[in-house]
Amino acid sequence: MDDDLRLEGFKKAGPDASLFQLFFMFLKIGAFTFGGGVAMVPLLQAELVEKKRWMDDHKFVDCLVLAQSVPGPIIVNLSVISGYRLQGLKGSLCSLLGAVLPSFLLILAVVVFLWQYRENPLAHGVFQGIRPAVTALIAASAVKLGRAVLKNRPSLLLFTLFLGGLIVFNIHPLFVIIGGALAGLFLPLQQVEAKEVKE
Amino acid sequence: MFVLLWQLFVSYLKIGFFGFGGGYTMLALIEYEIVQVNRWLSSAEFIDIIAVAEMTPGPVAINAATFTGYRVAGITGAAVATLGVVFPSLIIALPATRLISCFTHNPRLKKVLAGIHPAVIALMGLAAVVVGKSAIVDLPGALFAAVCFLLLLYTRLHPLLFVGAGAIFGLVYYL
Repeated sequence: MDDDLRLEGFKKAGPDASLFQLFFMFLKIGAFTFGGGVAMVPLLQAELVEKKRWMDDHKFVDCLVLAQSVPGPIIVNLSVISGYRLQGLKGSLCSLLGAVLPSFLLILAVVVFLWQYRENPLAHGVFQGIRPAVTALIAASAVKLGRAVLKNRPSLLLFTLFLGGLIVFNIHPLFVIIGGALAGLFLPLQQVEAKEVKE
Repeated sequence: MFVLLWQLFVSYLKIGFFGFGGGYTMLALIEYEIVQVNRWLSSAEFIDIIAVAEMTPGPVAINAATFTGYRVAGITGAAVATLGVVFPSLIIALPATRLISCFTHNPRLKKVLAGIHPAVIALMGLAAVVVGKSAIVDLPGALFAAVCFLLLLYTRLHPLLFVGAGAIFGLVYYL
């Protein structure tokens, strides 16, 4: 049914991706990438383009741009998108399952077996020390991304308005996203390049 | 029980639907829905999940969903919440893939995304402020956070190193 999707350039060389191979590839990536999202992009690129040769670089970038344009964690979107392009709906579901399963099982294990020790003094001290570091991680990635994205005056103004509204008036985060989308349609924010990891 | 599962699913569905920019942006949404509105987690628990998410592989949104779900309604809850947070990817990304060429080159979509970008950064900023408020409780903690922040901006050290450093700092100072 999905013949129209298997566009040229997708499977230049190598065998077809089987459902199990897709599942297993995303399982591997899901299980070994720390630091989430962007950290797994080069890994996936190495597997999908260089090792398995299921798509070329150009198509991979297309998938990547799309994965960053739709809501949701990037690894989840990439698994859905590339799985679909390689094996249709079934491929997409198998890839998604592979990508999500490792963190699902690991977190379950942590809650079931380890969380009860969180109040023990040793763990308590450890967590209390990690918390400031977590704050720094979030703040630093906000600043880094902000430097890349807020390059003209209207976007900077919009950002300030949004942050002020969120902190001072506790407005719902959804309104900020919707407001941003509307502002994008009517304000000249466009000099900002959509962040593209490759090219 | 069914009502609770449904609430859990809908909350994470919302988080998934508006989680542009992934990861840290979704934290602001998760904090709002899960900690502020539904009070399923305390803010200390919320921050500790982020810490655990940094230490385990996988996206923080999945980790948080699985965790909240389990705390609220056991294994079923974990599965329902996780399904909720990935479901929007399926129903948005799948049709978008069919129209991939129109999507990646559509000028109107580019405009919308250029407007969403400042919103995403603001949400990340909010996440930092919200987490910071309950994470930083004294001067040494604030200094440690500041040092981590500067090192993260000006060096290319791996994020996991900072989690490790935080653990050591905690053992030395808070024990």
